[in-house]
Amino acid sequence: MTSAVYIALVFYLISSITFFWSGFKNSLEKMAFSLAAAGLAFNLVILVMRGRISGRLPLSSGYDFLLTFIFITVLMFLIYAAKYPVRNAGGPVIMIAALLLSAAAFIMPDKSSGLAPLPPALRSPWLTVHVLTAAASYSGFTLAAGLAAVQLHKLNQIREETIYRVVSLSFALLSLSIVFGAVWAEQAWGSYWSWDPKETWALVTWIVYAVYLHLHRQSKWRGKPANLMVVAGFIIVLFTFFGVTYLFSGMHSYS
Amino acid sequence: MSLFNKISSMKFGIVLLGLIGVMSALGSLVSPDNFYKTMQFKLLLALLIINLMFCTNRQIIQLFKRAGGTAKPKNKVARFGNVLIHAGILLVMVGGALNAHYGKALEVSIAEGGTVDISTLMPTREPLQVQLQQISIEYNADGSPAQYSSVINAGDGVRDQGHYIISVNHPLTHAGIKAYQQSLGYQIKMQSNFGPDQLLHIGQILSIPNTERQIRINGYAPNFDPYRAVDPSLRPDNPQVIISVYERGVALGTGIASFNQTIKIADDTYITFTGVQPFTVLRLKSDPGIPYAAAGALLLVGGICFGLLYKPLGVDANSSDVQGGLGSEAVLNQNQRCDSVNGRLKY
Ligand code: HEM
Repeated sequence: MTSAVYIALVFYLISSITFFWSGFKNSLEKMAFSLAAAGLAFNLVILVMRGRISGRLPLSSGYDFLLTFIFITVLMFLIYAAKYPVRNAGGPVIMIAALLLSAAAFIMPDKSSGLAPLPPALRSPWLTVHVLTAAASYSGFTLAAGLAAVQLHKLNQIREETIYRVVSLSFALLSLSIVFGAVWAEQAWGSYWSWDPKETWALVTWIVYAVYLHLHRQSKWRGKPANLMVVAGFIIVLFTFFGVTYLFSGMHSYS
Repeated sequence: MSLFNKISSMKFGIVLLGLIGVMSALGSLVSPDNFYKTMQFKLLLALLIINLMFCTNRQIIQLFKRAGGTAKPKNKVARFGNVLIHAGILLVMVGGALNAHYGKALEVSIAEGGTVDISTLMPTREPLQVQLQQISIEYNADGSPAQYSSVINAGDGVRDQGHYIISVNHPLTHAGIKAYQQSLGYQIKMQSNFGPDQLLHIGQILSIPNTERQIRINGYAPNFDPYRAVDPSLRPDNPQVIISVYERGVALGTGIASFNQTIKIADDTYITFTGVQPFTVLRLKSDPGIPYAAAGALLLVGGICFGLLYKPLGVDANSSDVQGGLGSEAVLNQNQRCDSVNGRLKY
């Protein structure tokens, strides 16, 4: 299982470098695309193996969450890249995936925690929808940040509207995740909102993108300021995931 | 611009939203336990509620106006969705405010066989007494807990109203309140040759009569393992009571005792632990805001489907998705046109 992590990591790294290097050469971009897809296949293998060992979807530990988050990020990028001709966001997006995967491989302390039986509080169908939507929203914000970074670097490479749409979708997913989490907390702990650090930072993340969605309606905020917000929002997403998990204690200390 | 317009403007809403975001973030770093209860923070939330009320109201009016007007309505589904999103957030916040003012939550612990009159503690709709029949723990193969449950008997003091099982993720809703499985615990049953049988709780210190000695119940390990300080397993495979003995406050020693083992504390002074008495801890809650918050959550989710997932606003319905790498100039113009159609959004 660990070797599959390293193989996926190497594929993602080479893919990202190839994307950066390709400029606009179509053949190289195609190769980078295939390398990312190969990495994705190994990423899937790890998830399936962990799912088979634990007998459930791999969603109940920080390590599993990260692997799922990386998987959906790369998957979303590949769907985007298959649909739109401007693929150069592959450089930053796949590089982020590779960095996250190395964090999973080299920094994350307890890789076995997701394989043990679930504690009573986590035995709920809400776990699946809450965590899946959270992972998917983080993935979307990652893709949006990659697109925005490219846009900041070279104006008008990517249609503004595309970034806006990706943020809208991810914002919708984050809202759903927060609602599902609240419903679950109401059922498990008797309070749908308790200002636990993870909740609070999910709210902060949500607010950042809500402000972006509102400001984007005004043409004077489009372009550079909007894209800077998308990149900044992604940094807050990372803090919500890593920072809150490792700096605070709370109900989410499971993950 | 009149004060009313200012307070109900989107600009003010965004500023409030931003402030709440910054304050929440700082609050979680600086003083997570009480920051969110401060007046300043509540004031911000209250202002946002007022702002959302006016802006949602205006959006509803505009939704209908637009439908009847001559201009061809643009992306009405998304517009409708947006109204739902804002109304939903508003309702969730109103529900939260109602709970903060009129809600109540507390914990009760009930020993097996014991009865608690809930109506004296919580605003129940009708008299409610709860008797704990038994606790039950299900285990995984490795001995870790899979589920905690309390089997209870509800009654109104006169009639029996039935048996219920409260377990983690499965609260009981009854008489206008909810009861949650919060935790479980044990008290230790003790017999001695110097007094009546007693029930001791974990952490309790007991002075032994006619001696200068005390014992302290340090803990109860259902599955004691000398090689592991903390055992995650709760299955009573090897139950042991962990006690310390003190003389005038100075520790003489710490040890473990199994059930029905006679322990000599001093000359002619013996104690025996005979078993445990389980108790459950229930969290009781009444939240009059729940219907509002739940309705708000439903509106929000519906609004997300129509307003953000289906065809978000700001994406021109007529523009095709196919685009080249450098065609953004034209696209930007198109967006600007879109803006002037929605000119009312300018502030
Ligand atoms: C509390 C959090 C809020 C959230 C999550 C939120 C979310 C949204 C979203 C997602 C949109 C659609 C944006 C787009 O697709 O372009 C929107 C539009 C809008 N929001 Fe908010 N909003 C919030 C608060 C507010 C507040 C406080 C106001 C102040 C009055 C406001 C006023 C508006 C207006 C006027 C629109 C444009 C709607 C239209 O064109 O019909 N929002 N909002």
